Amino acid sequence: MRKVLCILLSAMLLSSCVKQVETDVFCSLSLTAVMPDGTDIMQMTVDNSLPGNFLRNVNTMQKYDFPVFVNNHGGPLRVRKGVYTIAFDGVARIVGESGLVEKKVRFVAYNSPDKAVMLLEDSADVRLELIVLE
Amino acid sequence: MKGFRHILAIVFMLNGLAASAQHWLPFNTLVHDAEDQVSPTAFLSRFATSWNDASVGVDLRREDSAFLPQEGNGKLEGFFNYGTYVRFGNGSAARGGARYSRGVKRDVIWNSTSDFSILYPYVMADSLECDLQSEQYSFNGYYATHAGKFVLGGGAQYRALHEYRDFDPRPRNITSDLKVSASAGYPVKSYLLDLSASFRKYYQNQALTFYNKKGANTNEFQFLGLGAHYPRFEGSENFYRTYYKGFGWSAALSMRPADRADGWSSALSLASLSLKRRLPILNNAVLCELNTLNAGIFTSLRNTKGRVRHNTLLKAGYEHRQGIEPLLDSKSGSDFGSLLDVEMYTADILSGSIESVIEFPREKGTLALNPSASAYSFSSGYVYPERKMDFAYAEAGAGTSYRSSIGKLAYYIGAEALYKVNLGGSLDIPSDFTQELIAAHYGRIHAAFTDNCLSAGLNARIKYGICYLSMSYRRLFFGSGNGTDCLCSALGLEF
Repeated sequence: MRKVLCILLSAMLLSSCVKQVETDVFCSLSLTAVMPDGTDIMQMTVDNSLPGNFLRNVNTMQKYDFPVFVNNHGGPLRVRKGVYTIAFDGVARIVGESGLVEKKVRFVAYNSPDKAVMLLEDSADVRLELIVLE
Repeated sequence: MKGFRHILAIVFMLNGLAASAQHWLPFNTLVHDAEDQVSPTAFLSRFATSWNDASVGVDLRREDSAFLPQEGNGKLEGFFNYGTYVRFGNGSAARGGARYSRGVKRDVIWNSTSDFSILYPYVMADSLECDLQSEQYSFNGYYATHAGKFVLGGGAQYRALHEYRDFDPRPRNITSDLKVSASAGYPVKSYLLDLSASFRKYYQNQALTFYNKKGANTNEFQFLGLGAHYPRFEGSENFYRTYYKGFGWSAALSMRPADRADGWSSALSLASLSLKRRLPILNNAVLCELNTLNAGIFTSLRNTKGRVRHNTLLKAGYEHRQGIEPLLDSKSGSDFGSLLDVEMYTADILSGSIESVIEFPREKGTLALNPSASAYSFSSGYVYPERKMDFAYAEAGAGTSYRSSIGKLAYYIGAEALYKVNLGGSLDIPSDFTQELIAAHYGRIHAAFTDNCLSAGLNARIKYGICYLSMSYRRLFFGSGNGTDCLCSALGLEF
């Protein structure tokens, strides 16, 4: 009994020396794009080569590519948990009265560290409310 | 056992033989050093009389290619060392010491922080290969006494380190490291069972006294682990004023012969140090946290009687390093608190060694043999972007020495040779600006080498005590023409 107690105490002591913290560093990120009038987006693309289009971790400055959005949804993306800035100009294809229409759209709601979005859970769904440029 | 300090010790060959030519014979220090690390009362009945020892010396290291670039490829250091042991009439004893050293580390690269062996991987770094000026003061004092059947004791040690660079960017680091210890021992048969504990406080203030990006032509990086760095807090002088602050503790259970030199001596020890690196300009935001856990065990057997004396030490150690990186908020008006603490860096270090000193005392002098063997394993990883580095090695060798006296003069000469062999490992680092450096560094750690040492000392009895001069020269051969030279000499007076 004494031996068991000693082993348990030792194990407790050892485990208390190492701080128990989050070990899963990734977040499964899904993006949902929404037009101002609620129109469904068949497909939306973002030119990832443009510096003004970014999905960026504020702490590490790591930039991720935007996926192609289909039926309003993009992703999921495997990103590191953290604080993110998001901004882009894209081209959305929607079904209008005269058929398939392309519209230039913009998202700027999280475009600076001061407005950044936190992705701290194992999964997150971020809603992107678009502005129509033309 | 002490992590990278084990590797550092190989390269630096700290003052070992040269500064300890007199009463600190390798036969004794082999176990005394191990005992002193776990108990502040171990020295109580070690010497029959009081003594003082003052010495000055120089420590020189020169490497063709740096083994650890973060500690430079050379060192030139002068030092003054004082030690004392005082026996009181009531069976109590005290010991103390002071040391001052001043020198320069040559061509330090990828490290602008002091105490790299304690703080890695969380250091500030740049790509300049410059000299780092270094100045260190250290003091220690311990007292031990008998209280009935108990042996009680305690003391403290303090170290202050000042390191700076005279070239832009100019880091200036001021470190203080305090450790307070106490222990209680109780006799069990012919042995003393000792329980000791200590508390440690560590602080390092780090600043750039001058930084101009254009003039310096470089950037400072906040390193995270295996080449990863923290871009958010780079590029501005304000972000380079940080400090490390933390606390540690240790506990040890040891057993050693009571009031005699011969017999078994063993100990089990556990130590922890937890440090946080903070950024004053952002409300003392925590940039990273490093938790280090050490567990060690040793056992030794000493026999000082007969025509063959021996002293053998077997020890093993484990160290776990855990690096935690908080995710900091970015909103204006926030207190820059942590949104989430994430474990990003881990390192596990295993080590084991066996060493023996065998002496053959004869009328004309004493011949000693010193065989040793050790193994070391280091395994580290960074979670994202994923990086890994593992290596392991073993080394074995033997030394021999002879000491004798002629009239009032005494002398010793010694030679030692060790061979280190690589036991495997792997390096998995994504391609970026540090790849070349880390790959080269890894190749160096991984390389086999031979380690050869020559040492000599001369003692003369004079009116005031014993005057001594000691020197040791060490040469490590890495192959491909690469090598490391270490020279240490000391002139001292024991009285």
